[in-house]
Amino acid sequence: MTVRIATMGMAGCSGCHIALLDTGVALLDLLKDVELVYSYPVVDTKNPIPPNIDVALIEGSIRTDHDQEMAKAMRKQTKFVIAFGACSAHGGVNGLANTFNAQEGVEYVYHKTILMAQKVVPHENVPQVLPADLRLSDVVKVDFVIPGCPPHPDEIAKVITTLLAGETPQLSKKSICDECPLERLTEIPDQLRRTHEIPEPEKCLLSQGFLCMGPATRAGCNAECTRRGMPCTGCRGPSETVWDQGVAMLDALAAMEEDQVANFKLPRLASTFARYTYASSKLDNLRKGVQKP
Amino acid sequence: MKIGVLLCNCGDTISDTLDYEALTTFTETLPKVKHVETRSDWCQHEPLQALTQTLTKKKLDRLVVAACSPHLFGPRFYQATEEAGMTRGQITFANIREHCAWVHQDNPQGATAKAKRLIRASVFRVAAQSPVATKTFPVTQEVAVLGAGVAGIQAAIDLADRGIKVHLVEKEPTIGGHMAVLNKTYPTLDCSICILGPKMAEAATHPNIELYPYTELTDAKHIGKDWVLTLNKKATYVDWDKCTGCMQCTEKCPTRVDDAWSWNVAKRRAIYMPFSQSVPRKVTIDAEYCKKLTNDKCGVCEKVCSAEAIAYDMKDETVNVQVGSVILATGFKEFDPSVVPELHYAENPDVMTQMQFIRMMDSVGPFGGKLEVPSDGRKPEKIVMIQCVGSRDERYSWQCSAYCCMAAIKHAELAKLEYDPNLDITIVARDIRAGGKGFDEFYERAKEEYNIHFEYRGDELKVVQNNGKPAVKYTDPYGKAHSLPADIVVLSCAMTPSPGTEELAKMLGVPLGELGFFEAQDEKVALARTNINGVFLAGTCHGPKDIPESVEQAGAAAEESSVWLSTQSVSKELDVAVVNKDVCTACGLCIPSCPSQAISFNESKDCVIVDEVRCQACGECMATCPVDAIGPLNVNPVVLDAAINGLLSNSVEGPESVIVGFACSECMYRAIDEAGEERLQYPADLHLLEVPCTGSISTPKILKTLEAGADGVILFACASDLCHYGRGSRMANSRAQVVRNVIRQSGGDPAAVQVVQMIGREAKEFAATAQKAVDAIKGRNGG
Repeated sequence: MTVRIATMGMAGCSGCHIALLDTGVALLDLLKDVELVYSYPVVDTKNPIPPNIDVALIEGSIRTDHDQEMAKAMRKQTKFVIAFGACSAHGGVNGLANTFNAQEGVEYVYHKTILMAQKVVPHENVPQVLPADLRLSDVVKVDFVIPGCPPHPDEIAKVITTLLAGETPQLSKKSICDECPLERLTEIPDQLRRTHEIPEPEKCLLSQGFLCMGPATRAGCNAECTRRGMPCTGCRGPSETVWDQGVAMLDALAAMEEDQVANFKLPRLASTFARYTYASSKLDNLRKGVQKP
Repeated sequence: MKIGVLLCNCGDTISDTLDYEALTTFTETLPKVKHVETRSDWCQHEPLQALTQTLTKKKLDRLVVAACSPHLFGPRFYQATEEAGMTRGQITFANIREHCAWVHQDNPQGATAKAKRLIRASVFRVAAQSPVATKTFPVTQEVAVLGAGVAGIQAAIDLADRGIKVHLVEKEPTIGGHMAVLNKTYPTLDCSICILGPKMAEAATHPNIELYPYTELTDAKHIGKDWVLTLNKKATYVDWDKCTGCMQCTEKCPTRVDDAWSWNVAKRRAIYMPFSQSVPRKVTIDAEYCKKLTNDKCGVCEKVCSAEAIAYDMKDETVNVQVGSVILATGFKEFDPSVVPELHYAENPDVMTQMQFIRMMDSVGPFGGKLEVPSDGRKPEKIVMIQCVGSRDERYSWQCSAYCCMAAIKHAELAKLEYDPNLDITIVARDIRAGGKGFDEFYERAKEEYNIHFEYRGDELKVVQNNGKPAVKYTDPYGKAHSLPADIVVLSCAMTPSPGTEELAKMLGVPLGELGFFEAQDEKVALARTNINGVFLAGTCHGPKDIPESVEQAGAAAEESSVWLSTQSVSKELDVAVVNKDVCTACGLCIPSCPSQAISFNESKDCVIVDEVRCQACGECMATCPVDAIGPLNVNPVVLDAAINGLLSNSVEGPESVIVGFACSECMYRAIDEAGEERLQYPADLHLLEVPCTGSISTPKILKTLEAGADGVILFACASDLCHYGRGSRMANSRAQVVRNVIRQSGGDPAAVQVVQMIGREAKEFAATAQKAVDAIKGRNGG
């Protein structure tokens, strides 16, 4: 029996679809048992969404009313909906737009940027921008989340294989540090360092003063960044027991650079501590003026 | 689970304000509450006895005492519940007297609503708490004393006399320390070695003292409550079992070396005995300079030694000792004045330190009591002493070095007394500090009897060279310039931490103060204790002090150490931080946050483990952990959330808003209790939760409390430099600033989060500040 799979892209960069392709040889094996019934890179998606879909992988956040409609339509036809990638799971980088007023943003783009000479905000036959960037689960029920920007190909393959075997996939409940091979922190660094600075190899990046989101970020990516000397930026969202990923790391830094951290402006706060999760973070909850529909 | 709630109306002093009927009805409806009983005298003997029976009969396994402050009669309730088989984890308190009824007398309705919330918080909290297991940690009845100066020797003898085995470790080849070469002591001018000598001999021969001369600590490990110390016995290249101390070898040795025991004013040989009264009276070969050991030449000492004690092939030896307690008595090092540019100490041989000066004058010292001008061997006529070198000087240390005024006077008197009564001696001081017993008389005598001159200096002072002789140029406190020519200039140098203090601090986990000395747990009431259980302080390793103070502290350290040994073998309640191994991700953030250095990685480095002996359950780790994997057993994130939920869930009708205050259980809780005792009134909006330290409340916890419906959060912390756990209060403030910034940046009003940092026992200030903080929060809400 073949499993009917659909993929869909909302506000996003298609990177998650590329990651799907990046599963490589594993993809060939998967495709044997799978019928790809709806997927914009390979199948015509102009028709209405076909019925009886088993699994839908939905990439991207919900940014327009069109995204919202499509998500709902897909949900109707699908047994198991997967929020695919950081945007879909937590709002993604797009969510940082929530630190600004959406309407002002639209006005700015259509009135002030050079390319938009007409200075008219189009209203007909185009999707309307929602007041805030949303994650998929804000709009429809989501059965499973594959986090990451982009998700790790191994994890994508594992989740789909598990589903094909009729089992429920599981995400790691731990944090990046659990998979990170670097030597651990035992001292508080005396100052913060920027990403362009060169870290000492094989030593915990946080202990060297780099802002690594590892401790509060969900494991499952094999710590690909940190093991190569790049601090974790937190693309996989909060780990299981973290109340809020960004606030948790802010707290860790309060010990290091009290004065600096206490003065971060919101865009910096959001883009540093909640780069992929702002739309679903407590920071966004706190913000006034953005009402979720 | 069955929860019992005891309501106490305290002889109507609580029920005057609170509506007990409403409280009882409310409490009975709370989940898992199976028994509610009101009395007016719960703290008395009879009701407590009855309580034990009730607990057993009704099979209650959790108890909430809604009464006065737990700091008052808590222990009585613990005892009563213990008799019924309950542990501390199963009982909690709702302070409805000092924190509620007594401070909201004009607002019975609000106070009753608040009491309901406090009781519910305690009920929820106790339901989430766990029983506390007890565990017995045997403590080895032996003590290591590190450093055998007068403080270390005194502590060792005191302990040994009590039948406790002492390992006395000294890095030099002899015990005795600085005091052995001080010549005389102030203010009595007693012979220093005459006082110390017998103590040194006693330490060397005491059946309970094992001496480790020429030995250094290289590693320290904590096992249970014990310390395992790795000691490196340095090779002396002389078999001390054979050496008779005849000194034949030291006369014949051709290699001359600067003598550190004389602060380099004299030379010694490469094979040497530090001073003539050394204990043990044995010689040591200085491997750095010995020609035989460095070049395989010479070998004279071996030839002259009739005891055949020389052993050039000797190696360092490592020994491990396991002890139940450690006393640090590592002493000090005289400040090196060569770093003070204007004194020209290094270039000018006629500028010397007090230690060098006294060593020169010592009749049994290397010069045999000759006093001469180093540069030309003349008889000196004028001596100028400069006080506060390296102390009370922003560049080096702001601290007064405490001993130097008296030491300078002592040396001046000695020079006149033993050498030349006509010497012209001037002491240039900022002021003379003569606070100890007999000190002022000593100072007066110096002026009256010995005709020693005292001049007073401001900040500007330098040593210049005038016709080949030094002169001290300085301005007095009124800005007038003076110049004093001298034959010898003596610098009264500060005490600085002895070399190796930092490494030692790291090995044992004892915090260092700003100036690099070991820090006591409390500088008033726990002077000989450190933050690390079982490690005590004696003498100048704790800071500048003189001999009487050092000996006094040594006695205290010995006392505390023996008390520790005798009490700690008994079981300890394991109310300590617990790690959830499934959640811990081994990021290690908690490790530097722990003031007791109780956290480390497990062997496979996949989670952290807590040293149950060291942990003081302050909760700093809990706040630092991003994944809520660690926290004190009964103040963990789940318990705190339960308590917060108890305060904030709906269904209590009251006109008040709910402001959650986290109060540090050290200083602040007491101040708040006292405000209650003095009936100082403040708004009933403020609901207090006791936490071990406000440093245990994380940034997420503050925001979470607001999200749960609190109108505001106030952190009541100790003054930031008086936190019992080091940086807890500072962290609380830092976190609050972070939260306030986050709220401000998100367009909210940061006034919702307030920090109050104050010293305990300031009840009036607490009430006033609480009122102000509540006003700030309510003003924000437009109320």
